[in-house]
Amino acid sequence: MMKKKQHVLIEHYLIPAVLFMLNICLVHFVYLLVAGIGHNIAYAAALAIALLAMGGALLLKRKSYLIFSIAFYLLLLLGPFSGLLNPLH
Amino acid sequence: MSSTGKANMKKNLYWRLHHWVGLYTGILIGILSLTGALAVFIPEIDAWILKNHYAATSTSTAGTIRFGNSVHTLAQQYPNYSSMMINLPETEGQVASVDLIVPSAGKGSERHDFLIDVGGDRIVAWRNHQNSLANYLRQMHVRLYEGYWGRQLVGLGGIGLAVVAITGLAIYGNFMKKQAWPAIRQKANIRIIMADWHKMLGISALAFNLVIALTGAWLGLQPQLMRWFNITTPNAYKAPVIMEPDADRALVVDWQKALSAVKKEFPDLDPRHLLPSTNGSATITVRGNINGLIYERNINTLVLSKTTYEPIFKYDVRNQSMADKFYFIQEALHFGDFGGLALKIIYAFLGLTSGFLSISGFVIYIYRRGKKKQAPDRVMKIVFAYSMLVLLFLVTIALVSLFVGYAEASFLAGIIINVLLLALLAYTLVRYVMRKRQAAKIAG
Repeated sequence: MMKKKQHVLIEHYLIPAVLFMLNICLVHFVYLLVAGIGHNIAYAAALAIALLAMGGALLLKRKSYLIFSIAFYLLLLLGPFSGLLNPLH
Repeated sequence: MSSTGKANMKKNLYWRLHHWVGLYTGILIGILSLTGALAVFIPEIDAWILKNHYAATSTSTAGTIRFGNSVHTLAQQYPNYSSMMINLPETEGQVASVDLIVPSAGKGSERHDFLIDVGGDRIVAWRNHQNSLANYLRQMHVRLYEGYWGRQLVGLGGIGLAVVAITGLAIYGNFMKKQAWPAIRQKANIRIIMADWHKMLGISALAFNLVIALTGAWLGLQPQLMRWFNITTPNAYKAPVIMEPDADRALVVDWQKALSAVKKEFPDLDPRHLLPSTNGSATITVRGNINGLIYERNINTLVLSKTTYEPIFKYDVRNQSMADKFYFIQEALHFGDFGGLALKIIYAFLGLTSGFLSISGFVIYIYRRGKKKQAPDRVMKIVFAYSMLVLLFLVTIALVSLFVGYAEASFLAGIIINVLLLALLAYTLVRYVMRKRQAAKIAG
């Protein structure tokens, strides 16, 4: 029963969520490479780590990895809006 | 009703929506997917054609561009032109082009592209703007070459894609059960294999397809929505008329002075288009981009006086409201025009997934319709025939547009699309009435 719940949580919810974020992260990363990597290499490196983290989480399919990778990228994505991070300056 | 029953009803509704919306918009989504994957490369394809087909290259070095004499010659050769737009080269070695619209007796107007070597300031080639491959790719993706309501149809296709993407996500879990992403059951029959690919690619490119769908729906329905909700283009500016149109056209512009004024007044602007006025306002509208921003091309604007080169109006998207920025982000997000060639390749690849989803969805539909007794080769023949008909349509319109004319291609596309739409509507209506009658007979 527990195994089935875990399967449903990972396969039906977390993996679609990671794939959703991965689409955005990929475009975000390529945009930054072309448009503004010179401004903040640390931010671009963090995005590359987020990409790898999400890719790795999809391979390993562990609940904690999947959640962590989404949370990490969300922080990078929403950080600039909240003033925490400013990727282009 | 129990909560499980309600949840099942909801899932059933989502499935029905996914099924029917996918079926009726699938062919449109397929066409838009293929043309969209090509449309993202329009500037690159056009630059390649200019260089290799028209042998139009520039001898300019060290970024100095000169085109004033060529533009002046054209203005004298076509003194009654109604519009002139100078498109500056994007990279070294490329030519500038002058997009000239000239009224023509009996034909309405003619649209020319004159290509200028910005090193030697000389006209090196000419082409009919409307009949170019770049124009075909854009018009086919934007309005299916149908001038009356083609753009709205494309917008409806965008809504259709958004609906199938959202409902697909809602029913994804139901169809996965014990399956794991990205497993494909290779030893199963073709329906199962197609269904697995459909689910795997659909969920993998969901965010991308949703963005394409929503921005596409807005761009397609934009003229109607702007009319209904009284939305105006944010960077629109109308300079007051101060002289006769003929006198305005006759004014000679020092383009080097104009470009220097742009550099001084709007240093971050990378000017792409220069539009001298023809209505008597005696202005030069300069449109261009600010590097590194995700907005539609050429929306930043500087309007200069044609006589003094003083700025009259400036539109810098960075200083505008969120609403303006949101308005101008749509096209860039839709065409992936903000991350160089690498992003365009990603866009083309992900964009083709919606085309594959419409084909795989159609295969699954044919199997289901035949109560799973369809012979695989028959199903594939049907899908192949539909795909070939779509390709035939695209290639025929392309050939007519390139070698006969834009108007003729548009006329032909209009007939094909509208006849097909009418036939589909009639078929659906007849089928609905027949079913109702049959149901009434059984009940009676």
